[in-house]
Amino acid sequence: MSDPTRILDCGGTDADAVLKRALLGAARAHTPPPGAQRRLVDALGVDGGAVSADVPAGRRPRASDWQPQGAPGLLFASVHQRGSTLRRRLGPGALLSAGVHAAVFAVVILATSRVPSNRPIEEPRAMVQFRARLHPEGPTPPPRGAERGEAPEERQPEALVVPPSKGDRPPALVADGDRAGDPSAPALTGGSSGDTVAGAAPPEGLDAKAASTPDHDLAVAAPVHGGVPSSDVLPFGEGMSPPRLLEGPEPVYSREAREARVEGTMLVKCVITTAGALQGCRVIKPLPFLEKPVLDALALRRYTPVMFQGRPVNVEYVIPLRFELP
Amino acid sequence: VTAIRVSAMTLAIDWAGEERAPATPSAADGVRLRGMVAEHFEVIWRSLARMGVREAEISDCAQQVFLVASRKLSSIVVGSERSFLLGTALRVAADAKRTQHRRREVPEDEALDPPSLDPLPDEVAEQRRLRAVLDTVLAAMPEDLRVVFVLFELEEMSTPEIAALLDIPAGTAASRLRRAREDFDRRITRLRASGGGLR
Repeated sequence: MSDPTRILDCGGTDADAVLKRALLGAARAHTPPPGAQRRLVDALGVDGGAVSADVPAGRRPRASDWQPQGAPGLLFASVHQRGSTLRRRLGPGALLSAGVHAAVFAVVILATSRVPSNRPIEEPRAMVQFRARLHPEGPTPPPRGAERGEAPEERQPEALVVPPSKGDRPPALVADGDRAGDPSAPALTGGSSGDTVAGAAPPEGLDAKAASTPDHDLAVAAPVHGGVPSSDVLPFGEGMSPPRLLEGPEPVYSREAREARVEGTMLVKCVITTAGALQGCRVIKPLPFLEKPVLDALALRRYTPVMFQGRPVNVEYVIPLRFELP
Repeated sequence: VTAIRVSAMTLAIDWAGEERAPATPSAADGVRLRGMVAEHFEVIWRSLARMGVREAEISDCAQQVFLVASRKLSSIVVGSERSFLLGTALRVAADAKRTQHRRREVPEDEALDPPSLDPLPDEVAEQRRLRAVLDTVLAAMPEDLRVVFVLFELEEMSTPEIAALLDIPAGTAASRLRRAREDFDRRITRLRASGGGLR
């Protein structure tokens, strides 16, 4: 479909056609005021160009006919030179600054990551972890006293003494009240009602047991402290002879505990010295109204020293004490 | 429906986009831009005038058109400079007209010399009077028809070129041109009948 003939190209002699041609002719002849184009060129900052001498006379110059010449105008200089301003800001100074920062950063990283060769290696400190099972394995027997409406018996937690380093240190030991029937464990008596106080179990089976219930244990670590310097205290572990009670009173029910009918197992962690005394005892699993009687009784007890590699050693030991009412 | 698919938002986007464009014209860009000014300045200036921009603002609007072109020079395909400039001019004109009513000052030329059908003694004044009459007629036309009419009759663009410029189908451009010419004829006839001073 071709375009219609333009009005200015139509013949037409009627008044309307003449008028239309006059109006459109005046509009087509409308030219910018003198100097307008010059001002625009100045404003755009492309002033200074010159029309090539090759442009034929009478032909309107085209883009390719112009040659660059002179500096850009000033009106839009701030806009046009925005990029160059950015480049100036990111010039050699910025690169130097970035390099210095990178060098300082590298030095700091090297200084903090390198271990000096003459720095003495600290003696590893024994750590004690207390683990309590959140979800006991297997079927749980009905709690004692349930018929009397009392709180069910708490399950015996595990106290785990874990040396942080290997070497010739003995491995960790679980002192578990469930292992009271182990013939190798010494039977300690405690409680006013003649309950059996189970001693620490020998270390065999520790790893398998600890690995079998990692998700059910809640571990609380605390540094060893007591009357003996911590560097001389070892955690009870494999290769050690278990302690045996020689003398000392049994813990007794306090009046408040008896009235409250408190039952359960208390865990006390002590350091058994080479002389067989208990030092630095602290309750890691308490029972209401029974802490003071237990600590008073333990302070008077004496045990056989724990032997390791043929000589007595100071050992941190967890003593479980079970309390039951008749 | 207007053929000028331009709004203040579009114009704002254009200007915002230019902020990310390289702003320093290279020597080659300067040559090209200067050539565009030399080749198309009159067309742009005249189009702005016929699109309804007041004469006192035409130069400013033309400058705005070429400033846009200078910032988008790298994206303007060689050979399509005229279309780009005209399209930008349409947007600039639309924006200028939209803000005219918010201005309090009255252009001196319009205040002192309103369009009149009375004859003037010299030729320059006659040409000016005719342009004022034409602008009055064009201002009364629907905007979509006015754009097509001006581009076709005054800037001698073909309907396919107009269609490409306005991003409309060629048939739509041809239809608008036909309706624009009919509308223009009716207004001229009515003007002659009412004015009587046109000779």
